[in-house]
Amino acid sequence: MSMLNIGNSALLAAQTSLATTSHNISNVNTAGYSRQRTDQGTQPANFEGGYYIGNGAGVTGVDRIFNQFLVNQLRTYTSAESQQDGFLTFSKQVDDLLGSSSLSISGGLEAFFNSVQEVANDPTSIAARQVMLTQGDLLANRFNTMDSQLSELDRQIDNTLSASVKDINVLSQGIKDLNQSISESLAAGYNPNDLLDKRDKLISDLSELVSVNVVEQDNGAVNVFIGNGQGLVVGNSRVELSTIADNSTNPPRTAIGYGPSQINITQQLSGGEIGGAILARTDVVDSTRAELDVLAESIVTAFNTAHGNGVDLNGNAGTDFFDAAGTTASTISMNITDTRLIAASSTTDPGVGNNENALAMAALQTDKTTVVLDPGPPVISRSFNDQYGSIVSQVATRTNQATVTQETQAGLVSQIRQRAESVSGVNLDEEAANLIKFQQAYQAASQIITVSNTVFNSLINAF
Amino acid sequence: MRISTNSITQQGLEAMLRQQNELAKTQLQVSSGKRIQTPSDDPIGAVKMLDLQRQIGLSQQYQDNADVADSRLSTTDGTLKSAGDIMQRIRELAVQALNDTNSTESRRGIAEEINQLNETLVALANTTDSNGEYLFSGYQSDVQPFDTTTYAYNGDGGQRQLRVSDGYLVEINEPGDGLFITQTVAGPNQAIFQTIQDFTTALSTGTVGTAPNDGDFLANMDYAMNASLDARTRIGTRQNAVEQQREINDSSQFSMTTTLSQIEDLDYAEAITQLNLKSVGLQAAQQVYVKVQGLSLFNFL
Repeated sequence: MSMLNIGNSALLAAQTSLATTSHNISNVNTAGYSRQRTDQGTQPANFEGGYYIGNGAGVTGVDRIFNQFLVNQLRTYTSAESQQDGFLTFSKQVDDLLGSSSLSISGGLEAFFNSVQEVANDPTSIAARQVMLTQGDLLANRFNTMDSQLSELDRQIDNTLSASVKDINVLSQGIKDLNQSISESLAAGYNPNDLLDKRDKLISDLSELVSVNVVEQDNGAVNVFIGNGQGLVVGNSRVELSTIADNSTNPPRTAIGYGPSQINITQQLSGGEIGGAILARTDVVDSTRAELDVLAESIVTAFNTAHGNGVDLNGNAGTDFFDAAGTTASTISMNITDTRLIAASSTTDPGVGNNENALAMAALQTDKTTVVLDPGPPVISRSFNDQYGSIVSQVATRTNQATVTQETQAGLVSQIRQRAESVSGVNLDEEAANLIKFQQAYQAASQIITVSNTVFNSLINAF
Repeated sequence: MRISTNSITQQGLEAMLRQQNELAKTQLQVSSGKRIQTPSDDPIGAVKMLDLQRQIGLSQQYQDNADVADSRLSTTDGTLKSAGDIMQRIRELAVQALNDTNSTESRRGIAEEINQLNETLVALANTTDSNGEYLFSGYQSDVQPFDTTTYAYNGDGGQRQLRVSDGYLVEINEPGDGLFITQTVAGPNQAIFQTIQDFTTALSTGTVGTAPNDGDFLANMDYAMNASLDARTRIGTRQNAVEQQREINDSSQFSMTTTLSQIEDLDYAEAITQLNLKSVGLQAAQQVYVKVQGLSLFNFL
């Protein structure tokens, strides 16, 4: 092998290294990019009888530097963090809603029962009676508003689910396509570094939406599973997710269907934005609405019973104060609109000045038997306010817990990301140093060619 | 450990965002004066707050109720005082009229005066409050308690109670039958107005001196006056009780408000210190970011 050829091989090796360094520098801000390194080795030497003569350098490959364990770990933590984040988006809204002084049921109850006491103070006053009717209506309105805000959140959850499903389908299509290109490249003997990065990035994006399980195949393709083992991408094929209507609730809500038969797999999914939204739906929105319904029903039942025990200004037995048909937070409403129909008087010595029943109704405010949780025996019950307090504390505790968990997960994600970055990320100072190193190597290789030319010239000139 | 350029940027950025986030939270606390912005900031505190707010609201309502009770009791007491004064005057006149030295003329004059006083007394028994409710007709507060000619009682025995604390209901009215229909020496209960009218008729017709229009009348007047005095004592006791309850409510309200403030309100001294610390933290994070970003080997190539 001639000196010229050795110089040439060195020149090419340096050029390749410079190209890799440039590639690294130019992709410093590319999301999901793993730095690459040119692998260089000596070329097979020539056996010249008693000894070997070296044949220069050659590029053996361009490697992608990454750590599969860290990549997998990052994916897992990302899913968990993104689930808490998605959960918080909704639970914080419920938390705000329950705590808001203008919307909270607690303020409504207080204003309403104060108005009942005013009627007890002055049962003949039409003004006081009017205030009581208005406050009853406002209390019912607070329930209605709160329920409609919660059902609005339910719709937001629907939207999150359908948007996520669309994103998942786009991502799974991308992963499937990349699977094919990667396995073809590998079969042809090439290392498709950038394609592998792209696929990892897509899987990482996917894990922000839903928790995934990734299994690598021998041919370089990956199988991606969601839920409890439903294959999303298997080799070169993928399964489409769809949004379907879940008719088990009224109104129907969005659920996630799997494959052409659209099997409902919503409950099997966890992690990511989807997991967070589903968790918020069951743990916060649904349970809060159910508990509010219990409170609304208790108020309607207890108050109507107490009201029915009395006598109104016309001398008739009290009719339903709240509409007996509306026993949920969304349907609670007033039944009576005439101030004379408020039954403030008791049945003993009924009269316009009799306030005994108004007192009895006012006493419901602190009555600890009004909200029956378990008919027993023994009966387990609590007051209206305690019921509302329990709703607030459940959501607040859950939100608080999720906030702490999210912060912890975010810390973990950032730590793991740093570790992954420390392996795969581009460091510009390092690349600058490499740039200088390979430039010097290139210059030196050029000198080999120059020298070999001089040597050749001196040989020619000898003749 | 190797650090990627992106990590350095990301770290600097995260540090700034974190500081900004904490600064914003402290800023919100300082500007609102509230430590707890949403229930999840302190779930236990938030529920305690709800409970305290309800108790304070209820206690405030009890104070309002006490005001109403106090005003009704005062009105009733004042009316009964006037009624007592009038009955006292009638009794004095009766003592004078029963004196044998009186002429027929002067007895007629006294009868006339007593009649006038009796009408005032009936009017007092039929007093209404500022809402137009009769004070002395029990639960039938829209019905005039005493007929002005037959003196029949049309009210009932109902006593309205107001709640001035969790455990205390105070009666705010006295039914008229117990006040103005009183026992007589002769036996059966009779409206005091009737007793007085019978006496003036006897005075005018010159038949005083025979029962019941003799010394018995004075005894009958005493029964009526005692009834109204007893009622005033009861009212006074209730007014005292209401006043005491009001003080109890006041002090419990004060302690609950203090507790609420401890849970809900911000410790400004601490919060301002935090605010300063965090803004210094943010500035530091910004300066570090700029300094570190300026470092690059490429600057020297």
